[in-house]
Amino acid sequence: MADILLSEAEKTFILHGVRDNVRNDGRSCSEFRPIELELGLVENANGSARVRLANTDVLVAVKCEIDNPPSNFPDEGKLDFFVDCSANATPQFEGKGGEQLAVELAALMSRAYQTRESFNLSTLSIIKGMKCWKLCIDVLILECGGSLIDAISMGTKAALADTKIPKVSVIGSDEGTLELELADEADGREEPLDWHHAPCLVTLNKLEDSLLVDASAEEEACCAAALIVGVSPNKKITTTSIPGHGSFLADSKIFARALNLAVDVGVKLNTALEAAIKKHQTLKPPPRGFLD
Amino acid sequence: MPVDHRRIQGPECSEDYRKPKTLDAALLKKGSRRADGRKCGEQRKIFLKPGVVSQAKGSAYIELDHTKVICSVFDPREKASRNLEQQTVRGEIFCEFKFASFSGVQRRSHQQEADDKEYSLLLKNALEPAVCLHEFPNFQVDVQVLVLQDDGSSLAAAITCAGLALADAAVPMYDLPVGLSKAFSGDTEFFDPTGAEERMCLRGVDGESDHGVFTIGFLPTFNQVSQLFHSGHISSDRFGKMISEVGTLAAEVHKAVQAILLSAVKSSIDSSDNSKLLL
Repeated sequence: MADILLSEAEKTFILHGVRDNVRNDGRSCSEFRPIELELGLVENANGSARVRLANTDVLVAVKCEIDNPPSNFPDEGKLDFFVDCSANATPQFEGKGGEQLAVELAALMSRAYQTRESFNLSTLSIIKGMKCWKLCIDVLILECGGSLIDAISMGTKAALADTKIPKVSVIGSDEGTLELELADEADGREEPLDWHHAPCLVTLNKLEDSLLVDASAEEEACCAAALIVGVSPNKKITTTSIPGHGSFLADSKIFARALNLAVDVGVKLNTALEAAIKKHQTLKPPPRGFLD
Repeated sequence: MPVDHRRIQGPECSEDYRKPKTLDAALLKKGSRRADGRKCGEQRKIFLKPGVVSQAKGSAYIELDHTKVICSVFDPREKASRNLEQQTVRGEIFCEFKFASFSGVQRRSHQQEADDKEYSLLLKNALEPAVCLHEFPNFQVDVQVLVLQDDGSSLAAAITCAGLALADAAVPMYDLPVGLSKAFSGDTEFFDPTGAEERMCLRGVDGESDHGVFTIGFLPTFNQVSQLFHSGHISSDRFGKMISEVGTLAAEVHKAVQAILLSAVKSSIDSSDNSKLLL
């Protein structure tokens, strides 16, 4: 991810702490940093969420478009991920600097959502073989402070929870083309999506024999390897990836430990996120700016 | 997507005129054989040859039945870093992975598509742990991979092929990386899946919750996993078990790749001896 430079002394300090299961900010190895979640900030999007994970800040917006369904799966809709690494986050992203990271993050997200068990695309179908909804999920990275993909996955799930798609009715057809009518927001005829099975991605960073959950940017700079695991609320793994130039010992015990830890943390994260979303949906907060 | 106007444009997208095959579990014929006659845990026969591109520093060609991948590696060159800050102590492997426009049933664009870019990164991450990156600081080695025909397991084939091409280019390495992949749906597991099996397992069969495809990059000498790319839906216990199962199979492929490299080196020494005699 976005690299920062650390001296050997700083790295040793972090390493010694981790050996005693204490990290720089007082957490244990398997604890998350405080997470802030806000829903519905972007007025022109169908759904949006902002997640702040200590120093990591992402804004996710979902916009719906009407599109033609894929020819091999005529009764399904589409889900597209776009990640924008803004140069506001770090000067390294200037110009084409963030492109590679953006591709990696967007690909990981679409892999995690690929299975029907995570997100049922047939709910996005309007008319089989003719029209469907395409959800464009735009992720904007406002600040990079480690565990970027974890924050993005949380933001995406929350944004999908916030998304409501208008009901569509066919009012007629003209020479083979259909005329559709969208229900107004004012009609209240909007439907929420089925987002409950969406996965959360957990990054495990390997430092000596310890596995760090939710590493900060400084910790990421000391770690030899990382494993990203997508975990659905029903304890299943939807995607894995080993980013960067690290590798893991192919020992079944080490992998079993890593995967079980990831699933454990992922399920907890999913439950906490779902509770936060529910709470957010019941109380209507006054509109605020992004940055306060 | 930006369009390259200097090229003759094909149609924006193309569709197979044949009817889409029904992706059902009928792939497994009677006697638990797969559509191509293999057993579930059986690999396709590998054809692997180094030194196929004369202009490249190193190259290799791999065939897994209908999956055909060619890879060439070029000399290290300095990274285009704009300022001192971006210069690195480590070297870099730069991968360009491309499915040829005629590689699959559907025509692909000449330019890199989203999954080409994704596979480029996955390949880079799979290869870098195997290479002594500290030997060429601030330099990059270009690895170009072209999938001529795609019938499943193309990323796994590309990892094995690129590993041999890097060795052929005499890039200093710790180990020869080996790529393997497995697809599964329900209780059925397909080792080294074909394109049809991959597509079926990526979507899953109705009524089966577990399904998916994963590709592993292995460094067998040091017993390291350099890439673990999975997409699907599976419990952690079963996944962990499958990873260790595939690990034992990696050693066999590794031996074969080593033997091929050894015979290539031997024949190149023999031919250089002959040229000395002629002089």
